[in-house]
Parts: sequence; C-alpha cells; structure tokens
Amino acid sequence: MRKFVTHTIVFLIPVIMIIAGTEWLLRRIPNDYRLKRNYLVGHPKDIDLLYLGNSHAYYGLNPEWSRYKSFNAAYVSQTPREDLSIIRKFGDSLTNLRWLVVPVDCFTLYETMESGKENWRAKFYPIYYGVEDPSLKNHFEVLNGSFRNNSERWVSYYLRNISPISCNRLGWGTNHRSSDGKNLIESGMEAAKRHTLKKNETVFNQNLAALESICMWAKNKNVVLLLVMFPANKSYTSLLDSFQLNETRNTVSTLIKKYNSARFFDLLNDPRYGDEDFYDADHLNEKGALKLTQQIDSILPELTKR
Amino acid sequence: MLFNSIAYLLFLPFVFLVYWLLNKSLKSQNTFLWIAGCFFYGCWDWRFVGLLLLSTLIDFYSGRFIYEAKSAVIKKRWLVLSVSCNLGFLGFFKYFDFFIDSFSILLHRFGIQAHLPSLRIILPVGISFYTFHGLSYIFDIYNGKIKPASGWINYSVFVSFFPLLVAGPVERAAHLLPQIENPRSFEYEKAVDGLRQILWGFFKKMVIADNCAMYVNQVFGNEETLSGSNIVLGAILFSFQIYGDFSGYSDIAAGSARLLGFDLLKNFNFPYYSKNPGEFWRRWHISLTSWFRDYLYIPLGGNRGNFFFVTRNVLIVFVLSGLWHGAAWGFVIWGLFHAIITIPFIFGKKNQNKESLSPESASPGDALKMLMTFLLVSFSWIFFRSQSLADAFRFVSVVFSSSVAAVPSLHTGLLFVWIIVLLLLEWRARNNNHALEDLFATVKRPFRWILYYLILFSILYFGGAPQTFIYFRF
Repeated sequence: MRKFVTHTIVFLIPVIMIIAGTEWLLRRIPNDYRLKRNYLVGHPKDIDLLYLGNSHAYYGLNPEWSRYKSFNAAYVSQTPREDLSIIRKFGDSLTNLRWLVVPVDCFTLYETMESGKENWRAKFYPIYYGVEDPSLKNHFEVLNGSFRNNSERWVSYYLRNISPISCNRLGWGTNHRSSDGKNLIESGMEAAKRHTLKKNETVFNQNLAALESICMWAKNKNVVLLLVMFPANKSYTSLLDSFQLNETRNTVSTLIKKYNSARFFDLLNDPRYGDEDFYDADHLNEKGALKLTQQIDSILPELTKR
Repeated sequence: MLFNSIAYLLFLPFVFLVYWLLNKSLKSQNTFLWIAGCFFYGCWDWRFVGLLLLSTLIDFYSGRFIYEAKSAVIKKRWLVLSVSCNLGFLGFFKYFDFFIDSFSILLHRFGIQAHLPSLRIILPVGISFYTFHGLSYIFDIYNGKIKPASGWINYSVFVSFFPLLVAGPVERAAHLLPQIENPRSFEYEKAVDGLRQILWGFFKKMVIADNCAMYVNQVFGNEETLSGSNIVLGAILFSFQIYGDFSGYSDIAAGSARLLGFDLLKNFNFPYYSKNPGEFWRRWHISLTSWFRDYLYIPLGGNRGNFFFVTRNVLIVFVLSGLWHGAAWGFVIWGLFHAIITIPFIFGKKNQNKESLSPESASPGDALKMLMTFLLVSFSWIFFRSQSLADAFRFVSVVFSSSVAAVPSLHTGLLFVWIIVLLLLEWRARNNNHALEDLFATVKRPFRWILYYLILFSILYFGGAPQTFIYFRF
C-alpha cells in the first residue's frame, strides 16, 4: 500500500508541476480584466463616469471620446451580477463618481454568465478583479477552459508574442471596426435567436435583485444611474421577442419609479443610428460608439440638475 | 458528480485513503463505503437519496423474510411485494409520463380529446440500475441461489457502491456480496492495473466519445435535410460515441472498484468484433443482457419450445430491453430491430459457437462478418439516438435514397485516426480485460510512465468538449 501511494505520488508530481506551472503562466498573461481592475485601483479619483455591463457597452462607449473623466468597466457577457460585484469591490474608492451607465437589454434579466456559452469567462472576476465567488473552480485558470485552449493561450502569448488585450487604456473594446463589419441581416437573425430566452424565474429574480442593489448603491452614494437599452440595428430589433422586450421595459420602468436617482433610456430603435454605425446587428462600431458616447455626455448635465 | 470531473478526482483518492486506513475493521470499512455511496449519489440530487434508501430497505427486509419464510405462499407474497415496489418506483419515475402521453396520442387518433395529467417527473439518476440490482438479489434468494446479506450495511453497500451506482454494471449479489462481506486486502498489482483501466476509460470517454459527439450532435440535431452519406457517417460515429462513452464509464467504474479491492462484472468484451448479432449481445452491456437472460428469458422458457414460442421470448426480452433504456418508442423499435436480426442466429445455432468469443485471428471472411454486424448495429443506433421516432424514420428514408452515395460533408479531422488507434489497441487486447492491461508490460518503469504521460496528455489535449455520460440518462 505504501509502495502504491509512493509511486502514485511520484507519478503525479510532474503532472502537478505542469498544472501549477500552467496556472502561473496563464495568470501572468495580460488580459482586459486585469487592465480594467488596475485602472480602477490605480485611478479611483479619475472616474466621474463609469460604464458597466455587457458587450453592447464594452464596444459602444469609448471614454476617450467623452468630455468627462470616464472609464469603461464593461465586458463581453457581463451581467448585472458581475456589475454589482465590481461596484461592491471598487465603488467606495470612486469618490468622484457622479454617473453610472448600466445597459439593460432584452436579455439582461434572462440569463446569467454561467448559463450562457461564455460561462468560461466567470473565472476572470474572482481571479483578476478579486471579487467573491463561491465556486472553487472559478478561482483557477486551469480548471476553466480545456487544456488545449489554455495551452494555445500561453503559446500564443509567450511564443508568438500575440497580446490578448482587446481594449484601449480606458477599457473600450477596439475590435469592432467598421472596416470589417459583419452582414447585418445574418448577424441580426443569429443574435435575435441567441437573445430570445425562456424565462427562468430564479435567474430573472437574481438579475433584478442585482439591478436593484445597484440602484440602491447609486442612491446612497448620490450617483446618477442611467439604465440604457442600447441601440441596435433593425435587422435585429425586428426579430426580438416582443413579450420578453416589453417585460424588460416594464420591469425597468417599475424599478426607476422606486429609485429617483435612476433613469431609463430606451435607445433600441433610436433613428439616429443607421447601418453605418453597426459592426454587427447588435454591436456598434467606432462610428456608432462615438455617436453614443457623445449622446450620453449630452444628457448628463440635465440629469445632474434634476 | 461526474467521473470526468475535478470533484471525482478529489473524491476517489480521499475515499481510497480513508477506506484502506479502516482496513482493520470490515464493518467500519463497509459503513464508510455506504456513506461514500450516499454522498456520491446525493451530489447528483440529494432529494432522491431517500428513494434509494427506501428501495434498499424494502429489498433487504423482503430478502430476509423470503429466506426465513416457512411456506411457499409467504415467500411468494414477499417476492411480489418487493418486485411490485421496485417496478412500481421504476414505472412511476421513468414511464408514467411516457404512457400518459402515448395514451393521449392514441385517444387523439380516435378523435377523443383527453387532457390526461402529465406530471413531468424528474428521473432519479441510476434508478434503472439500482432497481435491477435489488431485483436480482430478491430473485436469487427466492430461487435459493444465495442467502440474504448478513447485515443492512452490507446490503446497502451492494446497492449503493459508488462506482456502479449511476450507470452499472448491473451487479449480481452472488458476485459482489461475498466480496463485500469478506475482508479485502490491498493488492499492489490489482490497484496499479485499476489505475491503468481508469486511464483507458478516460481515453475512450474523452478522446473518442466526446469528439464523436460533436459530429453526431450536428447530424441528429439538424433540422435541415442531410445527405444519406452524412447520416450513415453520423450513425457510425454514434456507434463509437456510445461505445467509448459507456465502455469508458465501465472501465472507470471497474478501475475505481479495483482500487478498493473489488472486482466488478465485465460489461464489455470488444463488441464491435462480433461476427453476428447474437455474439454482439454477448459482448455488449453484458451485465444487462445476462440479467435479462437469467431473470426473464430463461424463466419464459428460453430456447426450449417451438419457433413461435422462442420467437415470442426473444421479442419480449429485446423490447423490454429497449424500453429499459428509455421511455420512448425509438428505444422500443431499436429493441425490436435487434430481436429481428438476432432470431435467425438463435435458430441457426450460430449463436452457440463459443469459439467465436475469443478469436485468435480474423480471416477475411470473419472480417467481413464483423463489418456487416457493425453496420447493422450502427444502423440500429439511428433509432436509439434520434430525438423522436419521426426523426428516426426520416433519417432511415434518407439513408435508403441516392444521397447515400454523396461525399459526406462532415469533416472529422483527426477523429478517425483516434478511432483506428482504439480499434488496433482493443484488437490486440481482445483476450484481456482492457487495452492497457499488458500493453507496456515488457517496458521498464520509467519508459512505461512516459507512455502513460503521453496517453494522459492526449486525453487532456485532444479530449472533446465534455458531454454527460449517455447511460446516466437511463
């Protein structure tokens, strides 16, 4: 028995060393989450306007084009629960924060990061943002994503010198360029199908509770909260489930009546955004991002006066 | 808790260490095994641990009362009670909604609009397996083959032994109970070979089955019309998926059991090397087919009787075997298909050729028979895998169309290389328990370990996106 245990341990030592080494190598690779976290920690007083939320905000709002000191802490598939975690972790240090922008799109209340295809991103929050997560698995890079994907990540960075950073220094996603936009009809159909979701009461209530907590935090901190339904192309909006859309709008409207520091801006069918402003049917390109950033800027003073 | 999960990779070593530390006391060891089994099951769904315990209680005491009963009438009453409870639980959880829905459809065909209550019952994982464990125990006691378990804990371990709890093999009390009731001693070679078997099981599951699943899901989940050649390819890949998945699971289960000093029934004996459907069923899911043979086919009369009598017995066994796999007509048709293709071999006496169980070599004629049997079995998997009977018939009609000659559009990449590796290694090991049993026996340890690392690396690097074990659904 002792011989068996000894041999097994000796056999596993190289395996454990490789796993530990892979974890260490993966954690040293620069990534957008660490960049955003470092900015929040390093420049807390330089943020008057904070953008949170999903890829619509990540690609749609560029702080470099805002006249206010702003930062984009949004990311792909980030839901209200992750937004709330970020607020709770870093919010108290953002002493100059005056406005908070959070997207509420037709799917926001209907899915969690764990339930979507991008559930592998859940690990980034506890590992790089340092937020709490009860799942032990989400505290290790190697336990998320396949061995092959993880190997390709460190090969890509250490051997091919390809940087995985996809945002600018203020957190805006730079990959959605008008020069390589997607077919709006096809992407609209695919996105509408992906975002048409069967309501799960537990998930819905969890997301609503997270949004409500954000509203409450904003109210306590005297921060104006803008809940924004982001602009999208008609090839997408015309295919959305109307029940899901109306339920989202009604829920948010009820929420803002309760919290007078919160406002809801429904820009889903805003005519100011034409085909030329979209990278794909539900994401803005740099032209659309410029438009939206400036549009948000223009309404902030009015909100502060109220 | 899936076998291919971090949780199991932590659970198994923990159980192994504590189990052997308790080696001085058989009672403590068995109690620990029982707790481990309940914990393992509870990780799936804690709500059904109670059902497992209730089923175990009923069978334990029924077995005892059957054994102690003085009269045949009382024996039979306890037998009927236990069998009714077991089949009642299975019938309710697994088949209630199926029969209600089927009955509603039947009434609708006759123009009767009946709104029968459908409960959408959750199927407790492993119920088909542990129910059959219990039934085999009761039947063997009733038939005087075994004595009851010497204690409640020992019987509970028989039912809830974690390696076989959720997907078999369907163990027999006569085989496993004596191992539970007698002290086990640690055997180095057995434990090492157990680890090798686990490694091979993971290879079959993660490299073969999970990679095949990617393509199979494309074929069988496709709402568009695919060519016949794609469907044939999908069926062939499903043959390897279900084999890799289920035999891989069985190897992991058997290997885990061997670490604890137990030997489980062999569940697969390289079935795709069968030369006829009868032989296939002696090599595929052996624990279940032998269960049906011993507790249904033989009591019905087996091979004794005229053509219609034997045919009836075969049809009953295969249809029920199909239904055991799931509450859907596709499984019934699958079972019926296998009954039809097996019957000729029962009457042709070819099914009794014991030499065919361990072929020393395969002549071109044998190779052709293996290929034909494999293609027949692959064809039958269309009914097993399709999401509905209508889909299955649609696929079958396309297979028999001219599009079967078209070049398949599925690009399987390295997958067929891995399948060939599987076939070659298993052909080499066709007289062994598993492919890695003596593969590196003549190689010195450091080089043997390098080969194990290569297999481990291939599992981790080439393993497909994780899929649930198919037989967990049954």
